[in-house]
Amino acid sequence: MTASPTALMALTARPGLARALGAVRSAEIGLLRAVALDLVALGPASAADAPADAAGGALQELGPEAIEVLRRVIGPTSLDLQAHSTRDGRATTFLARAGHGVVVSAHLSLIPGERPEHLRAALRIVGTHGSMLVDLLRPQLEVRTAAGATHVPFGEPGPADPSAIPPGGPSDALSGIAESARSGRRLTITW
Amino acid sequence: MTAHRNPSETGLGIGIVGVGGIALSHMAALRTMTSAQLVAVCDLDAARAAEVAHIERCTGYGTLEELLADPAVEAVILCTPNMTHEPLGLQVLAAGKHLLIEKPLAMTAEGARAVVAEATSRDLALAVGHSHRFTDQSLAIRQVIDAGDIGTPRFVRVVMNGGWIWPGWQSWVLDPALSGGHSLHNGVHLVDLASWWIGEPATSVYSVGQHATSEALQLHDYLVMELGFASGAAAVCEISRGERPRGAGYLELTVVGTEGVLTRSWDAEGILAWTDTGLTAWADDGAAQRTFVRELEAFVAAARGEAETVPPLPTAIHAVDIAVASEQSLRSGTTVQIGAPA
Repeated sequence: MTASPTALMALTARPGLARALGAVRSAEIGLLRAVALDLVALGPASAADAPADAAGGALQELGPEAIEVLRRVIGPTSLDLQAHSTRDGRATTFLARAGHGVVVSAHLSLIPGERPEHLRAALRIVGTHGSMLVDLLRPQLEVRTAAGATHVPFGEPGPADPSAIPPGGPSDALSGIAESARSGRRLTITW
Repeated sequence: MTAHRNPSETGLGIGIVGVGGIALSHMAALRTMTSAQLVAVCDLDAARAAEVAHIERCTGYGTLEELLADPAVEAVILCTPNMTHEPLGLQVLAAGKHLLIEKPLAMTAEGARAVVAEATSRDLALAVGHSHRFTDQSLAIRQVIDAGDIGTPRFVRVVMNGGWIWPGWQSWVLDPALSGGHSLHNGVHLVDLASWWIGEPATSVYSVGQHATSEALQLHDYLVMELGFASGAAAVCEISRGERPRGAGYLELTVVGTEGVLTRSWDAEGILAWTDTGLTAWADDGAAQRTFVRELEAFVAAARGEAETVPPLPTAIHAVDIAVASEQSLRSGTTVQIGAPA
């Protein structure tokens, strides 16, 4: 797999994710009920043009990081999952119910582009007593000139997570998602 | 068909059946229109009908039969509970009136097809109240898609989450046998938008729900539906009436295409206010009325034979098919395949 298209800072190190994880664990929005993650990134066309169940494609390029973000939010669990992927492998979507009833949805997309960059990295967390929106691309400055608008990230990575879940390895989960997309069947995976 | 006044001279005569919540939106829109006018209202609560008729300066009836016998009524907007849509819709069409029926078109796939067949056989306009197609942002999204700015859509996420707005335990909405479940009651709005923007009918649905407000609920007040399409595209449609605080409201519309991504974020209107209730995104006050005026203008045009109904009737039937399949998916916990559109 080529290097993740993430620019500069891994999504899992984003300060917004660290703050969100703290809020989930301290139940600031009540108990966790649902999580939604959308990742859209520019990537080399060669990486995008591959079937979803082969090496490459949005699932292979963005999946490991996406699963790690989701896993940190909901913890290790089993999921009843249905996935869909486009024939060119450039987009994968899944909806799942986790073992503890939490609803998880995610969309991963690769758009051809030479500059490795996330166009969208949005995490939404729904609790029994509130919700959070986390734009994982922020904090960033918006700079507008005659040439157009650009965004300049600032800040430091979020603090190390003292209760970090041991790495679980996303490969089995990716395989399960790919199989559900290929077969059109709902499957049970564990991460 | 009942003899009518020339609609182009005096505006299409509209009768509203069921003067509850959504009827108020239609009445507000009609007050600003010249192509149509409210001539009668009807409700099982005759006193309520009389009160509204007095305010709106039209005729009030206590039965549908009386309203349908009024020659000034050329078209009906049906705003009654979901389980009445099919039988009352058929009754309205049998009386020769054009019909705008609030969503869902019917509670079953068969019922949806029966209502459409009745309208078609009588050459009457039949529109279904998928009003979200007529919002400022929905139309703008469609324009971006049509312009090819983001390429071919392959993912749509529609999120309409908010707090409890339904009445108490006695409400028909909470009984899936009367409302059809959340997929039919509100989910049809979202699946209609998703299919419209993806540009093809859905072929499968997998739904997951929660009883967010109370475990005693039979209806899933929190519902997420994943639609699959033959092209491999997908949509995630999420709707909730179980969020806290109760006044919370969150709307997100995202379309990812082969060339780019489009997002209507929660604060897209750019008006943020800090008040005693906290941080709130304010909306343009006139947006809702514009939506209903557009919907009614489209219906009037269809009634005059000047345009097709929006959404097209096969699409409206398909929304019911998806919603019925969604409820089946909720019960079975499996992915349900959806038949070809009518």
